[in-house]
Amino acid sequence: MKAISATDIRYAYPDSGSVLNGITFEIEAGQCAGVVGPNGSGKSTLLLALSGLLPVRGRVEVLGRELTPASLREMRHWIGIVFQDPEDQLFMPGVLEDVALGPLNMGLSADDAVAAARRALNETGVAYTEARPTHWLSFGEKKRVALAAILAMDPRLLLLDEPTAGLDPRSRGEFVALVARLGRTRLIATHDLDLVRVVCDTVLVLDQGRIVSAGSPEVILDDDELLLEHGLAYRHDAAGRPALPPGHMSEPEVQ
Amino acid sequence: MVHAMDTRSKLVCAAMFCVTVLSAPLSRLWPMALLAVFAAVVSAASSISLRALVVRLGPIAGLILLAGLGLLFQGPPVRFAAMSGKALLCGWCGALVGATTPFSDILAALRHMRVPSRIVGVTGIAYQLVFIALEEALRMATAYKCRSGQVRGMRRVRQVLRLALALCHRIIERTERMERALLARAFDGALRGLPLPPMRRRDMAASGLACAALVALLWASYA
Amino acid sequence: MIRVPEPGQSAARQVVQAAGFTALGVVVPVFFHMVGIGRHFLPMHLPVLAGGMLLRPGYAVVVGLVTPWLSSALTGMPPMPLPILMSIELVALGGAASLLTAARAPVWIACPLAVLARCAVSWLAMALLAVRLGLPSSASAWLAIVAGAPGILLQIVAVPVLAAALRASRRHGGEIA
Repeated sequence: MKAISATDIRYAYPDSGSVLNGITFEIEAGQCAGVVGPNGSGKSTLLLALSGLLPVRGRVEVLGRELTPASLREMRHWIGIVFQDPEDQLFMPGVLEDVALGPLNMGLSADDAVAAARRALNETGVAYTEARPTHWLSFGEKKRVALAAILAMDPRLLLLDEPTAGLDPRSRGEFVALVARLGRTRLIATHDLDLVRVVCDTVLVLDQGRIVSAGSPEVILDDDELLLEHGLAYRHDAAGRPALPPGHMSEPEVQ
Repeated sequence: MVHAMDTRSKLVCAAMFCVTVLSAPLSRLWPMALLAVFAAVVSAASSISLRALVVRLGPIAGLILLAGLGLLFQGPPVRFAAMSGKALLCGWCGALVGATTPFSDILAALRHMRVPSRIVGVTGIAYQLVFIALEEALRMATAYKCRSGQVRGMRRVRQVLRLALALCHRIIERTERMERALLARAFDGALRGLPLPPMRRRDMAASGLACAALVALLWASYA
Repeated sequence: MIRVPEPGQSAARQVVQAAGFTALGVVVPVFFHMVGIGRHFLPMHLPVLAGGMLLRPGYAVVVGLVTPWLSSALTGMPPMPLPILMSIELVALGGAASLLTAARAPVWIACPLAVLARCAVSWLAMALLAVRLGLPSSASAWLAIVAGAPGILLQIVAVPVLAAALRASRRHGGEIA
């Protein structure tokens, strides 16, 4: 069974034009897929579409079932989405209460919700923050708690938007290891090509709302011309420094 | 001791204390003095140091006195002293509750006391957003100070108002993202939280005694 | 028959936006003090009025009710007993703005009318409660309104602009380009 099957997905924001221009792809159950592309290519919008949070045109099937307004309520807890900014998804004053919010909304009893929350906090390595106020957490801790809040709902499909953005190198490495261990179908929108190389089974390259290439990380990420063409790499000048784009004003002379 | 007290008891006692303070007659000083002693005893039982409470209350005390200055010109000085004293006592009570009670417990207590879920839900999320908005406001204020130079008068007012509008816009945009995150957590209209443990008899007895004492004090002050 | 603003808005949107306006009601006064503008501009009223333009009446009233108490708890301002009076007038401000918006009144009309309603309720509340709370006589009710005149002017001018901008920037549904 395909975990995700997307057919001709299209979406345009009222004030900024078309963002998704006919996206079609499939992800196998248990796979980890990376979605890469330049800023504004539609990566985040694609994740919102796949989680049912945007009313797109086209067909989206998750775990064999079509995502429609009627089926969304039942399917909501199958699909977990973790947004780029953790502060957008921490609602409650306390960590345990915040992580337990999803299970409570799913109808679990308070005891079961707390147990699910504690399991998720353990899985993400931040069980020690259970009793803390959420606004006292560091950025890295907030990222992990936000992930735990979704894992507590036990989703079958996990959508991650820029999971390593803003993390220091050590925290980034730990988070990459965490994502690799999660063991469920994952779709990761990211600029972090090292993350894709380490964790993903397949890569989709998005540009201007279209999939321009797809394949294994080894093939995609070693294609320098492809990466250059779609804003995922930059040229170097003769001195080995990043080169300015054509038409850019040259550096002023040092006096 | 106050830390361990049930949050519902603390809120009921705090509300009763504030009502008593505000209702105490202005013309008699002894009820206010007794209430101040009551506050001091509870503070001592809370294991919060006097210095910590004074530090919390210090900035507010100055603002309270400033805010009350208008009363000096509209009546006898004793009214200013009494009203400032009342505001300070209520502020002291709030500072003590805040220092001994996690905000999540306060929300759970309000939920348990049948405060409408809409009010509790909005208050809980607003509490989170205040810290985010404060950080954003601080960044904007710092950036503005670096660039505002010697700007004064109406020009400054106009610039600050534009900044305030930009701050409002940014926070409301953030709420749009939060809306999606809330829907992703299967939100169906009610913001649920974890329940508090059952109230202990000693907490019920303590809050009952405290409320009875405050009612008796109020009755005696008008007798 | 009164219809709610933008029928179809989800409860999630109402809750988080109400929370946003409440938080702004706490932070904007702090911001004004940070950059040296005084309280005569009634900074707490601005987000409550803006919220009234965008929220359903039930949530607009909650914003008015909660903002002064949350602000008093977190910042100490306003000091007791002012949150009692302010919550009454802000409930009137937010509620009136929302009801007028639901009745399809243009923002340029809804805003001044809501401010008028707030002034009337404020005067009444001061007149009835001032003595009870130990504040000076009802003459100060007029003084309070006059002292807030710059803020009233600001509300009538700035809030419609903000409300219109927020409505225009809201993304609800998309179409094929």
